[in-house]
Amino acid sequence: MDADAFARVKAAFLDIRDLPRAEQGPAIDAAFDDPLLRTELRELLGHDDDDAAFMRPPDPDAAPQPIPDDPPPPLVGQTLDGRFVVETAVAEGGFGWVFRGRDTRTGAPVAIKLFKPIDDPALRTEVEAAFDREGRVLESLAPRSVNIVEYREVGTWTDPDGARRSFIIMEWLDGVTLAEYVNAHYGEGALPLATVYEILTPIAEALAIAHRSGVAHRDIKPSNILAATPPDGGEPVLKLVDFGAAKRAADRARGFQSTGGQVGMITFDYSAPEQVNKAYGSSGPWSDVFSLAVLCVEMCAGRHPWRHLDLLAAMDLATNRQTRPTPRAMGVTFDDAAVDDAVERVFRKALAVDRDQRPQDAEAFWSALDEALRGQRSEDLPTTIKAPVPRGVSILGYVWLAGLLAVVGGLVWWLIG
Amino acid sequence: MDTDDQVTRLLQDATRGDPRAEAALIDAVYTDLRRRAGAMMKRENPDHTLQPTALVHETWMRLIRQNAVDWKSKAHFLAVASTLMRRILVDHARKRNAARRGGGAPKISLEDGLGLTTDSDADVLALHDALEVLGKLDTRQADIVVMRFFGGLTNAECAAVLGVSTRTVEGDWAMARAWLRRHLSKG
Repeated sequence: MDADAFARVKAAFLDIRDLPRAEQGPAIDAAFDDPLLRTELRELLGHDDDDAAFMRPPDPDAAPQPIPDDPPPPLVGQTLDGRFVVETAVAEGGFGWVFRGRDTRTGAPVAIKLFKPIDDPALRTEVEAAFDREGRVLESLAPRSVNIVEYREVGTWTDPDGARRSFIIMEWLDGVTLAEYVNAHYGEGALPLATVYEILTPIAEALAIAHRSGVAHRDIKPSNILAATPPDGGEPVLKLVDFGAAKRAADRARGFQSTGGQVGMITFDYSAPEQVNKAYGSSGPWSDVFSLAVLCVEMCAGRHPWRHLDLLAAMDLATNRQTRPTPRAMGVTFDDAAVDDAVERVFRKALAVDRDQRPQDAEAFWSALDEALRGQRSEDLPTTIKAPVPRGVSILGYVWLAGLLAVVGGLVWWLIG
Repeated sequence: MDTDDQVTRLLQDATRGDPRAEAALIDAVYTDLRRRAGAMMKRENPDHTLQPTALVHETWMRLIRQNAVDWKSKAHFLAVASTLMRRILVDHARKRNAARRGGGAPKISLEDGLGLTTDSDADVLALHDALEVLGKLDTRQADIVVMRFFGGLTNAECAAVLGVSTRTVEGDWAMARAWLRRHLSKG
């Protein structure tokens, strides 16, 4: 068959497939004189089945949609702990759902994180214990900083199907992400480092409080920093959200289960080397220091050090001990040579590949940065932005890469499992 | 923040028809996609499934600043990535087949929402060959299959890439599926 004949068969196929079954036979006979074309058409229509699973990929739009249109119906309208009413679903993640809800005792809106049930009893015990720990830590942290999202309650709830689900109740935040807030208030593009320091100080202080209590956030990134408008109006307040200990425990549990979930967004743009590959040691407050430093560099350079690079070049930048992505390496320099050198020293340490060489917590990092910028106000710190320096790929990048691929591979395997 | 996102800019230029940007975009996407697909396929666990569409969409999430591009650029990106995904899977299947030498009759099981198991080289190669034949009869139908099957594009996204109506894509897709089902079941 040639393309012309195929096109004629296609035209007939499209006409006839919408007809009722009974009318299709006569229509096929009437379509062509050529018996070969009639056979072709009949066979194609015989293989036309809209409902078949054949070649039907999963709906791609289902994965990245932040707002779910199909919340699990048995959950909306339920009351957790005799007090928190689940109202509307606002987001879905691999862990479960986030709902807007209401505290019936105070009438205040709340955010409810409701996790998927875990079948394995041992894992469930582990996850519930992690929840409990996180709940107690956050209960103690939140009152000490307005910049940490306020946790109301952590617990376990048995849903109408009899499945036990962990939940976290938090204050409801109305606001925007850090990036949107900064773009709206300071404009897009690079900001003076002193301004970045001022903007992020509440977050650094909140982290310092957590670190003093022995808690690391471990997922510092712009989307986990919200600029929340207070209920009574007024200036937005930066809030650190998603202390992920419980979520990580739940994720670990899911790693052993096949839940047929969706591929979530995998971010490593702000991860410290040890968070991607255990060969670099264990993670902790020093990992938050690394992430916070990357965020500072991104804001003062006006671009992320490696997000736009291909994977290997990104790995290299993240793990090359010689070339750290400091503000200077990103083309941000200070006209005052003393300030320039001091800032470079602070960031070389904060972005050190080896965790031991970094400031060990947010307080140490932030006071070192304060020291480097001391006596300087935003307008006193003229900066120059130059074109970025291209870099080669070192072998060290591969160590990080190996770990990352293991992580990404593993994630995708079980997310789609 | 992050005003200098090279891949995003390449995509914007490629969507506007700049051939050099298109070539550079293909390079960037291919490198990224191949490394990650390769790492996953190396695991060779027959219990698990590789979802090309998931990989393609994850590449989109990773490489592109999504709020900086419109949905047509997204469709363009996914179309490029789906072609590359096909090439990666076919190369991989060919290599493994060559390494195995024989090993039973090919079995066709392109079902269950693209359940391409790591052991489905035969499926990939059979589909690839069938698409070569289909492409000679109707190029657009073959293109739509690649975009939908390897890239997970919606009909509307395919329509945007091809510059035709969604209705046309729906017809082509139905016909291509029927044709492939028949072609592949004949073996």
